[in-house]
Amino acid sequence: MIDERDAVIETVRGRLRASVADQADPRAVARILSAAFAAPAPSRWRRWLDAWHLPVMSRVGAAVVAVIALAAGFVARGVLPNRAPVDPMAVTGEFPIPVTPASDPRAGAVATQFVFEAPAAQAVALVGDFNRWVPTAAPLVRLPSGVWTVTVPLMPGRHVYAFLVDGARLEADPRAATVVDADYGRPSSVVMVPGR
Amino acid sequence: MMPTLSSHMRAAGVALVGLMCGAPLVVTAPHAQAPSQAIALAIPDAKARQAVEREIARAVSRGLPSAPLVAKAMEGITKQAAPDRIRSAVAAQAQRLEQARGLLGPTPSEAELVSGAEALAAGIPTAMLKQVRAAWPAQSVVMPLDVLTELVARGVPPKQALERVVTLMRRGATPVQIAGLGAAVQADVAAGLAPDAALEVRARGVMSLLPSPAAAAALAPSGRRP
Amino acid sequence: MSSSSPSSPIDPSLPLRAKAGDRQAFAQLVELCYPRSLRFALHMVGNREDAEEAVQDTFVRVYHHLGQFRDDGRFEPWLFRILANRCRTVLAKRRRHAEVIQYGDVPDHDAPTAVDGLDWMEEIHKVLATLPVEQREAFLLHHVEELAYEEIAAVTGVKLSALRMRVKRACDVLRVRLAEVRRDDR
Repeated sequence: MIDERDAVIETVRGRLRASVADQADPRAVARILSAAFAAPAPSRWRRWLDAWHLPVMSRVGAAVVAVIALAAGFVARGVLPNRAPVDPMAVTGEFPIPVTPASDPRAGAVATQFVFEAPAAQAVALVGDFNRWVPTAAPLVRLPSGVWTVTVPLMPGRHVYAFLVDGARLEADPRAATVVDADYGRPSSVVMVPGR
Repeated sequence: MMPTLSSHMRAAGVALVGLMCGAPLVVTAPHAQAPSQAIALAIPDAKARQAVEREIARAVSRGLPSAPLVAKAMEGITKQAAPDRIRSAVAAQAQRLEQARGLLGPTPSEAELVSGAEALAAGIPTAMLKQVRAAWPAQSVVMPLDVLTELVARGVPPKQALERVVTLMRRGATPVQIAGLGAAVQADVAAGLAPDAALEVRARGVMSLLPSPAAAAALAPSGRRP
Repeated sequence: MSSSSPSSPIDPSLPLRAKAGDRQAFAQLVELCYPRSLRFALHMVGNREDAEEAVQDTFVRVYHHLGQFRDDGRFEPWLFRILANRCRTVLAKRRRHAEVIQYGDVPDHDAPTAVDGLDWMEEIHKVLATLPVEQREAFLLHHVEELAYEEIAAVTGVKLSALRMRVKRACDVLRVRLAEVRRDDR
């Protein structure tokens, strides 16, 4: 089968290729980066679902599988032995810390933009009570002007934060109110998120 | 034709719903618990790390939430505090959470506990937390507590801050309006206004938007907890 | 027969650096791939708003699934696979059989809007809209985005012979319909 580009196909191809500018719209790119960095990582089952092609089944087939799974659950509950509670003080090499799953943090969260000027910095991260002060949770993106920015979803209320510059220097936000924390004596910044 | 992703995802989703209905029946059998998740805190010294973890584990065994304590430890690590200081900070935060639980009872949410602990850390007297709870017995007090903390942090005398916030709560102000008050006072103080003067001006502003005391008293409390 | 690679191939180290957590590398990937992605989405779904949403959704998924990107793989087919799925989802949601697709807001950069008194872009879009989704997709991936057939097979999961047939049918329809339009215009 010969795949020919005659004059008509060449014209169509040329017009379609030229229909979008070669340079990316920086605002669109910024929106994409904010959405990507702010969105929570998909849960493990979601990643599994996306990675593997599950067998295609009809609705009837899916319903049958669901009923069988429910029945299996009831049977297993009656048959399997009960497990003893986990002792948080049990010595296992390191003391395990049970993590209480928080209620869905996404509902009611308000997208909040943070801006920090640091033209000479190589990396800037937003750390605060909303991301457990983890330096890798919310890195800022550098714009050509030397201004760094990130948008994160915050629950309504008061939040304390700072910027970690080049992984070593913690700086308060010059644009925001400052507070010295009672426990570590270091200045941090405060943002009030009003909610909707 | 290749099935669209959405159609096979829908079918798979129905099956997964079934599986998910079945699985918890096993997992939530009596005495079974969700698996614990060991969090490796970035403290190089093993003894120091275990001391922090023990502090957290002790608090959890008293029924306190682990997330705010882990966050307090991580804050110390990011702020490059000495391990012993991190351990004391975690212990102090656990104590504040426990106090807040007693003051904001009977069943405060984790968010309320955290806001209560922050208010106590800012020096707000314990009795004031009780008064905030009493003003909204069934509604989340996260926002009033956060605003109270912020007003005191800006230099408003605690008694004055409490009076204004509780009055607004009783007059039917919404959490959004109360948050607006906090943000506005924050901005006014940054612009050079005296904190108490800023609070008076902004509180009057919010008050003017609220129904009269008689109308507010006639409105039954919503009883909702967002 | 064309088995050409894209006009500006992506530096293979970029997706690997992004996979390792380098957000600047990811940002560069977005900047480089955005125009092609938007172009493909635009011609698949027919309006800018849906196209931009599909592209944004795609890059968010790419970001969260970089761990699954094979180190020895090519990035563009992997990206287009996710993007093509997103576009199909948009089209399926829209129940397009009941709708007329409006191409009015597709900008036409650089090229003249009329040849021989005819608005070629409008006519091209009308014909594209009548093509079955899989033919439109195969045509755009091969002739516009210049993916090789082997790469399109990786994108769509369809055999090479079926792909060539889809592209040929799309070309046949375009030739016939655009020739009719030219004839009618004279």
